Amino acid sequence: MKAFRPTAQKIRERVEAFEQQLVATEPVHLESVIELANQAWRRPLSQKERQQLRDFYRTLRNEQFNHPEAIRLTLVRILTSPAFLYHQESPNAGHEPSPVSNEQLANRLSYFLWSSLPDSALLQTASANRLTEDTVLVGETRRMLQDPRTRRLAIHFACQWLHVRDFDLNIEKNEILYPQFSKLKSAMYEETVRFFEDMFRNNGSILDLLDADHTFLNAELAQHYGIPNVDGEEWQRVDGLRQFERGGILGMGTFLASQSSVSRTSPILRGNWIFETLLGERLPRPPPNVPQIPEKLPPNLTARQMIERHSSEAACAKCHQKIDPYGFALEQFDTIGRLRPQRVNTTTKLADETSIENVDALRQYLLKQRRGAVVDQFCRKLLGYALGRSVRLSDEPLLATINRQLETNDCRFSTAVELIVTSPQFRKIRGREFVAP
Amino acid sequence: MAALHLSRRTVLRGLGVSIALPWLESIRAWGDSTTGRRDSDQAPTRMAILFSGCGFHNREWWAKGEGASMELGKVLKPLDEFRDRMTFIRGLYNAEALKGNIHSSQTGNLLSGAPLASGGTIHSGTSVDQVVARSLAGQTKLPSLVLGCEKANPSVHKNYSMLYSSHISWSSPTTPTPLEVFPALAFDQMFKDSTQRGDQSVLDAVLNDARDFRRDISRPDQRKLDEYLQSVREVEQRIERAGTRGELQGWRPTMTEPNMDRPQDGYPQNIVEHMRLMSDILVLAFQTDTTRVCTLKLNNDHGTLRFPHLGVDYMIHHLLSHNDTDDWLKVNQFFLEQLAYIARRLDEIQEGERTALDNSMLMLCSSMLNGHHDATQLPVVMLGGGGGRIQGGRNLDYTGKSDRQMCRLYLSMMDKMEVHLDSFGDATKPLDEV
Repeated sequence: MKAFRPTAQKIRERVEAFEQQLVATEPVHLESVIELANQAWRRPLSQKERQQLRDFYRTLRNEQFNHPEAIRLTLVRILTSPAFLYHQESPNAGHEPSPVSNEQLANRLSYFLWSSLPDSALLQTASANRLTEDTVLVGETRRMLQDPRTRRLAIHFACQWLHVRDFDLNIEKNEILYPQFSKLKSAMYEETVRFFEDMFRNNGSILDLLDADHTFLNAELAQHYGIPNVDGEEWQRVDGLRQFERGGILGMGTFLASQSSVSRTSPILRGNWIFETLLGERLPRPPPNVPQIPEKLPPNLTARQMIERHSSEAACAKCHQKIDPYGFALEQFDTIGRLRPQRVNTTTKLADETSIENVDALRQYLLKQRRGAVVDQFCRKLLGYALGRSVRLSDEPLLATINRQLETNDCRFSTAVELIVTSPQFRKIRGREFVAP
Repeated sequence: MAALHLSRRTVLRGLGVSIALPWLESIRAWGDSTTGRRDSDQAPTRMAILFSGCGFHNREWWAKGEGASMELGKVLKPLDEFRDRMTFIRGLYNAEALKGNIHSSQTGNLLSGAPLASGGTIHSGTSVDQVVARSLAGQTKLPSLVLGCEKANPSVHKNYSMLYSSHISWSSPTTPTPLEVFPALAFDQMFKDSTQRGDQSVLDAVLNDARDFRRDISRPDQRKLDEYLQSVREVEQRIERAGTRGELQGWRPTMTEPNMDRPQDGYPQNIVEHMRLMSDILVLAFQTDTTRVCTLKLNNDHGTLRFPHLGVDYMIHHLLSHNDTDDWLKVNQFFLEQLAYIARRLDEIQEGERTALDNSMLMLCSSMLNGHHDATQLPVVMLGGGGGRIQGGRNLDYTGKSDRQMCRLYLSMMDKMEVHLDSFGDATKPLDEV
């Protein structure tokens, strides 16, 4: 024991020093939490608010909460506040719309492009009251689009619009017939996300949606697609896709598999997706008591033959002839987006009497004859997403401008985004007394 | 642009307080209730609703005859021993569920009969369990227990939010009742009061925030904020109730402290254990009179559970449902076994002359009859005596009859819970036969 005494003394001193240090760092922790509130509430806190948070913490300490508990409760208090949970924007009194503040505009921009809070550069511009200047706003938009956080725009906007968001979590197939699907689906989803991320960050053409000659693949997915010479687990840009019948969303596993049934393809689902999601048309819902199309194909029938039978009744044909042919043109792709080893019948006649023979002809048709509808649908969805509301009649002039400008700007993505963020819709807020007509 | 966007659904769990944010404007629960209270030296009636998504095996969900000689289809085999205390009901339906799309729009209004909003909007109706819970509030420590064995799915399916598929219980038309899928946390809700320390300070502070906030926003946004305030107040009430027993008069539960250990933290790794723990918690809640109302969502509609213990691991529940195979039957029976287990455990609890099962009303239903999305009639089976008010051994068939609303059954069930409404959902009278 004697031998330990000097050491014990040293240990005691170090323990005391450490405990003192702990107490000394408590105010530092508290100030860090208050700094976090600036971010969480997405605006600079007023002196009063800062003091309120300090008081909150102090009261808890006086109520016998220890430091970690009091810090934890202060965090709870910050994160359950409406200032964190809601985007707060202050309208002017009266009926007339007024511009939102610089900080609020920064929030709108940042949640549109990044689905998250503004970074410090954007906040600085906003607090210098410069973001409301057109050139500054456009400059910030360009800078932000190039940032990796734009990946979230690909996920939240593009994937959601195309009904493939969370594809890897939500899409299931018959695992007896398609045992490989569950391993491939996250790669399929990643391909689509990367494709749009690239389009948005590098100012691609909106039309690449249909006729890109490139995509992003790893070896596993390339093999599934039948595309040679892609090695390794690394994701890589692959060009020259069209020779393998791929390119654009129509050749992607996400679209092809999500719009299939569990055990077979569904030309109806794929066709309806092109009609409604891509072209923005709308069909009436099928009447009740339509016979269920079996999951398992009857012997000697292809999915196409079965559906042609199903849809041949006059009452059904009226709608089905508008959608099924698109799906027939895609029949070379199986349930999980592979090219079928044998050639199948993909020739078909569209509702407007255009004959098309395969997926490539379908691409060309959409790109040429239906180009206006595809571009317009893209812009509508983007505008609605940016504004966080559905598109209204009063938005039509803006949409017309965007469509027109895209025609002369090679359909570049940034053209659409810049027109949206500089529009009154994006920069103003309705008066407090505004009543919808 | 709307001045105020609803942010992501926010359950700030893990930090202690959980607030379920409502989605859109709340409207009052339908109908007004007038609660008569029974003399309380009798054990109270308890109500549990079990849910299983995607229907059952089409050919094996049936019952023939009545009483102890009732014959049962294979799905119902696990209930064999309870035939004389069982009510098998065919032919009820929910008209609103036929209007939307499949799955999600067949589930979110299953217990309310309310119309469902599509698109990005969330709007259903207050569910029967929550109407009863509100009416009994104050009599027990928890107004209700809302349990699940599958996590909620936040995505969108065919233009309807999958939140509808994941929530049968709704505390307001815009608020799915916070669903507990962690057995340990469900246990804590019932028995652990200390975690609430400090939460009141948090609530006071955020309520002040909200008041400041409210001054500065437009009127439609004020309405949205009021939903936030309502949620905060619900948490406040929960805190107030914590640590206080219900107002016991006369009758005492047979047990006041839990007779099971607190389950382990975390999400159970296998479904057998998960369902067993949640069933035990339900039984415990009734036995200790912690609550008299419980919903147990065994899975989501359009759900993704797998059943390796049955040798059925190649397809998720939802996909299995599309074909009436032997494996589908096995899975169905596994679900019915949960109901049988709960009934058996309750029947072992003697409460005076009756057992807890005699004093309970257990109902199991699904969103559709079978995996072909047929919701023109719903599968319903009930067990238990409902406090001496349900005869049992009955086989009721409403097929082809008019007025076969599922909501009529809810009116009947509410009557047995002493909650008397003139109408509920699309029904204006209870089922005479129940």
